[in-house]
Amino acid sequence: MSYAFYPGCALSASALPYGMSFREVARALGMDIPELEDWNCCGATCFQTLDEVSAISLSGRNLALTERSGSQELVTPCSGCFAALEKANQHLAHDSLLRTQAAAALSEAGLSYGGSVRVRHLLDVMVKDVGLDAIKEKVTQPLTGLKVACYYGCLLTRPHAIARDAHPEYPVSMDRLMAVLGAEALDWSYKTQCCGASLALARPDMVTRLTTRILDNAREVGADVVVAACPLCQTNLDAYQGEHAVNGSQENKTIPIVYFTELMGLAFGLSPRALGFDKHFRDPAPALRSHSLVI
Amino acid sequence: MEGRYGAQVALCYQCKRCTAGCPVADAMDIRPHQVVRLLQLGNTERVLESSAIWTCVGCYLCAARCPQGVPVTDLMYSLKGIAMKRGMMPKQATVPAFLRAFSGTVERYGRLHELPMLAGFYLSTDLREALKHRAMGLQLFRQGRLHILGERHRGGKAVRAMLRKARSRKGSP
Ligand code: SF4
Ligand code: SF4
Repeated sequence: MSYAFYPGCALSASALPYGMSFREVARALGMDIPELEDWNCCGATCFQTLDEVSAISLSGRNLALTERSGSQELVTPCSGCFAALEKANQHLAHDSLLRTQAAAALSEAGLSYGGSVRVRHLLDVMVKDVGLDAIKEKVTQPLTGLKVACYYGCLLTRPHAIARDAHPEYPVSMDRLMAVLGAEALDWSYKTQCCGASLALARPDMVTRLTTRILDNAREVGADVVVAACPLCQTNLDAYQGEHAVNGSQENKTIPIVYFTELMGLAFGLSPRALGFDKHFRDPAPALRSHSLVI
Repeated sequence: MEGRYGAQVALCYQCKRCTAGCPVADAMDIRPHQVVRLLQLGNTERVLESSAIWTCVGCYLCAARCPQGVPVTDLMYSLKGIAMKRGMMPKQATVPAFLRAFSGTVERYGRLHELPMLAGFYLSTDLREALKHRAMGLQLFRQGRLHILGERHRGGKAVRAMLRKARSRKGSP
């Protein structure tokens, strides 16, 4: 199996701690997962709205580059990128009209795509390919006592045909990963409720009402932190908490939102600075220190 | 619309499961099941004028739970696209403005750079909104999470050529 890594546009920007912790953790696990060279934006849901052939060509170019590099699997840490890339992959496999139109566009970029690539989400690769046993072996600082609410959001589990999670209504893969790290993964009701995704700029009103409900529930069940597996989810949940207080809900109570790779790195005993823990809106350090974790 | 999704829209039997699960249905003027019904009745105009299509956050809950496999979310996306092509300006004009700022940035650079995208968005909507979020922007910048100059993407030129071709096909915008 040969992987190529598709970081997506946020990983070196707003999602810096996700990118930093991914690289540290991948190194600790001895994963060979080089970044796809010359990748471009997957088109997100934006191009799907404006023009479907453009959307499929943008994602298709990344698939074609992966194929040309000799890799079989394209791994992305972003749920939005995952959904766009895999949707394009399926359209290119099953819709002959779209395939022909996208092929013409791709040839302008000097590429063609034979359909051999599998798109994977990083969380799935960690849990299924690396495996929970191998991850457990690396744990030197178990996250004992840390209560986490695993947040999957929408595109990690939907549409079902694209996400292919065995438990789409109540996913458990991240919960199992957290258990292996020594943390306590809590039952809660908003695991797969949408955070507002890319509407953060255009409809902050919608995003705030959605994230408020999610965070209120996480606090109600007693979570110390919420764990995310997508740059968009993390940013929406983290950035707008100040505005919740303004809107009167759970005043002044905040909750840190961390990436699952940061907690993996912490449990592996890696340097918290190298993992990017200091690059959040709500500082996760106090919550982690209260459980005697070194950070 | 009729062509691409017509057969699937026809399967809707108005059970309202889409609306029951939708996290923002109460903020819509017409609910997801009504959007589908209006399309069945051929009243696409009413749907295109609705706030519903601009309120949908694209979470795929409706589509995932629909017992008839109606792709409600994809319908919402294409309806937005059709409304924009027809130059219809919704009250929630920030959504089309965001889509233009996003796509413009990707077309130019091949990747999304936040600063040009933000500039495009706030210049075409309301600069005062940007000021409200300046503390957030400053914190991102201090943490190295917002770049003033995005590096030029090597494949930018190829991406532009590709997108030109994608759009040049018959019957597209
Ligand atoms: S869930 Fe499906 S069948 Fe039921 S009302 Fe909605 S679109 Fe129609
Ligand atoms: S995709 Fe849109 S219409 Fe469907 S449930 Fe989500 S917000 Fe509602």
